Amino acid sequence: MNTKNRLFTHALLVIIALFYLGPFLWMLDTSLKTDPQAIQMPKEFSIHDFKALVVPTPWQWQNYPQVIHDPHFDFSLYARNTLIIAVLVALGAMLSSSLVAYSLAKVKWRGRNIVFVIVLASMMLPFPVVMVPLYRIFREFGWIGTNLPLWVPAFTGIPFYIFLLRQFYLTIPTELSEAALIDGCSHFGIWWRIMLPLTRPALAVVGLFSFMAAWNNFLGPLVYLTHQNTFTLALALQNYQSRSGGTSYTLLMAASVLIIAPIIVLFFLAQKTFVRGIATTGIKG
Amino acid sequence: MLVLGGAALLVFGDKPKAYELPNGQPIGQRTVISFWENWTGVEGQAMRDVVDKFNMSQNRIYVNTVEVSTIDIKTLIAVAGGDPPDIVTLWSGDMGQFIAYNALTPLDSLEDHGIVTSHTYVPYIWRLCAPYGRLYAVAATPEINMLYWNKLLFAAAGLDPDKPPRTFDELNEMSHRLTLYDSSGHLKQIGFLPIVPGWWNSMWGVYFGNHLYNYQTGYFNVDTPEQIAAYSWFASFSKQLGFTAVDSFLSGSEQQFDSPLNPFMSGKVAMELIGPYFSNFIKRNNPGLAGHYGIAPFPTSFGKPGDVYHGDCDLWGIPRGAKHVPEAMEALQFFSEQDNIEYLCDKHCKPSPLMVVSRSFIANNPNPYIEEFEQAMHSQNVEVLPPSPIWARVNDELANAAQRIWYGAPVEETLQQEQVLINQWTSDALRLQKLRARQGTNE
Amino acid sequence: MSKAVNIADGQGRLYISWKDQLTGMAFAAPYLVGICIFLLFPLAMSLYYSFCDYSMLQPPLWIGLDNYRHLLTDDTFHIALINTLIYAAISVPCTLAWSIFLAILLNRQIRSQGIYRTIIFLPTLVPLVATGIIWNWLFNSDSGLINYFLRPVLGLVGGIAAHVAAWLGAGPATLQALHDISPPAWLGDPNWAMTAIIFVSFWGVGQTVVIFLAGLQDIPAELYEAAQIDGAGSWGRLRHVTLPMLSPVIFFNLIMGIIGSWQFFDIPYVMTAGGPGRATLVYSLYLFNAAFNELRMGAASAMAWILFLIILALTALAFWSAKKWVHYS
Repeated sequence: MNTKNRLFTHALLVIIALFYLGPFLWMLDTSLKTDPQAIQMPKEFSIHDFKALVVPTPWQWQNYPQVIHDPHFDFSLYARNTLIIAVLVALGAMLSSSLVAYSLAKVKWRGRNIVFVIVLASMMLPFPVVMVPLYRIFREFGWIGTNLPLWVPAFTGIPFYIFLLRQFYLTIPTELSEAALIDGCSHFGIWWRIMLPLTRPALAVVGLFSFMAAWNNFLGPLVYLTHQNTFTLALALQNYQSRSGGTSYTLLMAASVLIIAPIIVLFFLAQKTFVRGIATTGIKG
Repeated sequence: MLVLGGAALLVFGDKPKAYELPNGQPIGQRTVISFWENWTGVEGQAMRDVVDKFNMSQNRIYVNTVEVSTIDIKTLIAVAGGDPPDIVTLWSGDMGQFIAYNALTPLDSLEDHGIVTSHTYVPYIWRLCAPYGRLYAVAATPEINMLYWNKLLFAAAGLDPDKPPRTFDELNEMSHRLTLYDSSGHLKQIGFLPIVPGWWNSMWGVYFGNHLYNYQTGYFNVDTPEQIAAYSWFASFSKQLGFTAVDSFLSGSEQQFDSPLNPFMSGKVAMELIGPYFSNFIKRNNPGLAGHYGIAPFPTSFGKPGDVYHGDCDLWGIPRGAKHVPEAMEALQFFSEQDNIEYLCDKHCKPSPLMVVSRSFIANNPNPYIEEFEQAMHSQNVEVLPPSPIWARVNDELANAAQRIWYGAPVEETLQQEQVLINQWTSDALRLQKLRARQGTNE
Repeated sequence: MSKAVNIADGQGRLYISWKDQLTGMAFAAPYLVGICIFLLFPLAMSLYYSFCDYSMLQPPLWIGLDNYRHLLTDDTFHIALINTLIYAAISVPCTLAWSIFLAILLNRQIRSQGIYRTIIFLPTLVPLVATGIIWNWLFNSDSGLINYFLRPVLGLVGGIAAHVAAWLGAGPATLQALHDISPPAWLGDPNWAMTAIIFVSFWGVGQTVVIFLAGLQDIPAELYEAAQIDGAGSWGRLRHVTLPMLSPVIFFNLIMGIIGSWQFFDIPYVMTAGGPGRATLVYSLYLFNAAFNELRMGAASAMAWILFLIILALTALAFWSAKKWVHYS
């Protein structure tokens, strides 16, 4: 690729990167200002004014402790709630989806194809269709107000991940399991001792993605969590935003930064798995 | 490393806090009841003061206050889910729906023991707490709307700063005098703008003599001549000023009352129809204006200003299915004592909903116009939000219609369309109600 | 030993050992139990509710087709339907095209490709609630960054246009209007709110881009070389190599996009709550309001089933059209 092309590509990418990175930077910037400064927007555009616009005067680091110590926004409590739910969902998704996927891929039994079709069809089911009856069912169980509705279903298998793992299992040669079967190993033993370790990368993807989906889930907690001290971060953020009375934009931005930061950190630590995972879903899909 | 971080959070992260008394001591063996309220800031603090007082005054019950947003939706969801709070702060506009859906526990014992009766409150407040005769909620802090006017801007425009408009003609004319343009022809100041704050867009008919809701039949009066007159007046502002011009004029403002960008507080709008709590926020957000504004009853088209008011009230209720009803009742009894109500209303800058008001409340109230508000409270002609079971949907529809009218839709035609639609909803709701009653499925 | 191995019987049918049958069903049991409780039963209940008046605070009351009939004449329902249709019809193809463009750009052999890829991917990690809040702030008509940049740009353009118009002899009203060109109030302007929300969708394409990137990297280089030898320019290579080879991935993302765009909820809920007026009232928002704000669960269930049918229909359409343009290698 010649230099002219390369420069052009770089330039284009820089502009595009600004679009994708900009909002984060602006969010951070606003979170460190005072409210009056955040609201004041110079009507004219000049370099001097731009500096006045961007640089917080003064640097309101105390916005962060203010948000964290707000008695009605218990950040570490919500973080803990969200963590518990997300971990349980990830565990449930990994265990049950791989179990079911194995049976769909490696065990020959009657009805297997029908179940697979049901798995595919249920991926297309919009949540609103079952939202109201599910609410009713959870009420009968007495689960409304607890976080059980948010993670127990994960232990029964999530269609998308069942599908993903089934495709993955299909790529593993049958000779492996056949040999083990002949040696007298049960299917469960094969699954537990051979398949799970073999499919670790795919499992990691399932775990990571389901963790993230649970962490960011909003509609579920909105409907099922009634007590504020059980709120998750996404729900707490929306609650913070919709308080009656005025909204402090700077504090709201600070709260948003606090909520986004853990996921970003997680991403940088697990980058390879993320990217590989997305690639796999797309290709096998 | 990741696992370590997660584990740390699990171990050291905040667990749901143990309850403590305001003086820091643990609550010991008490029944804990949950109280959902939606006030923030100064207003929220006042409520918490009353709750603290209750918690300290006895040792059997502990009220845990939770600040909740979109409280009506969340309460309905919680009641439907079988896990509601014990006490909830409601808006009087919600009562119709909550009662029709059996979402509230009737407060019969409070009425039977004479704690809260029709003599406790001023007439319109009692109508809000017991819309169909049975007590379903107790009053917290009321609201009644008055015309606020900016005396400084009046004087600057050559109007007598102590004479508010007393008829609609005067209102229109003064608003015209107070509407100013800058050198490039853009709006700089507006006299009166009906869409600020825009919360009563479905209720303008009140000041033209319309009764929106027929309590006997349950039907709404949407396209009466009074409504048409009201909304023609409403639309006249948009026609005169141009709605695009108004949109850009308002674009930098915030309708929130607790913000210095509020149009009245920032001096962009000279007159506004709003409730008593506004005085509180004027003090906080634009102290320069405090002492230089006046309040007066809003003009009526059929009589003198003050012949009709529009008011509502924050209420406390006990959702159906609450787990600690006797304790909640006791707390409500405490909240409703005169001292506590007056404390709360004083901090909110509002008048008192009670029939009996102490002299010190009037003398010390931070609202400089408390006497006028109190007089309005005792009026026999206060229109309230209809306690109709379908009010949420009707209000949404009427507000939307008002907006369409503002943006140029023909007044009479729009109102007639709305009348047909809302009649259909009402008849459906009534038919279903009868069906349920016949089947005995009304619990 | 041989119990676990499948034997074909005389007619070539597979003999499935009872042990395998049991194992298979046992392994699938969590899923089977789960879908009975959390899928099939609610599905049936939801269908039943759609024929009832139901508030969840009182038992359901059978009213036949009334819910569906009322939806036919419900203006707000039509508005929600059209809004969502517009959103889906514009955002799905446009974000797909944009994602492909970005993927191609990122696929070029330049340094720091990883950094750009990361930056583009970051927004998808963010909870949609936070995305809504950030963009709310950016689109704020007075204090938002977007209008801060747009105002002088439009002022400049307006000024130039006014000069040109004056030279062409336009009247003073036109000139004033041109001078007055200013950025819209975005989320406060019914004509621009939906545009703003569609714009936000372009910020969250990271996941799709990475999928396309992986797809691009799967395309064998020989195909490009062959095309080049045949005389194809960049555009020709795109049309004849890249897009066809990418078509399965495009198809997958199309399906995901259809399903996702029709259920669009978080961002409108947080940014506009359906407003101003009903400009951004999307289907799922109206459904949620009807269910949990007005407690019309019967009507909400009817709407949910209609949504299901719409998605099924569109997906079926996509599958049928796939025969024409999706190439599996």
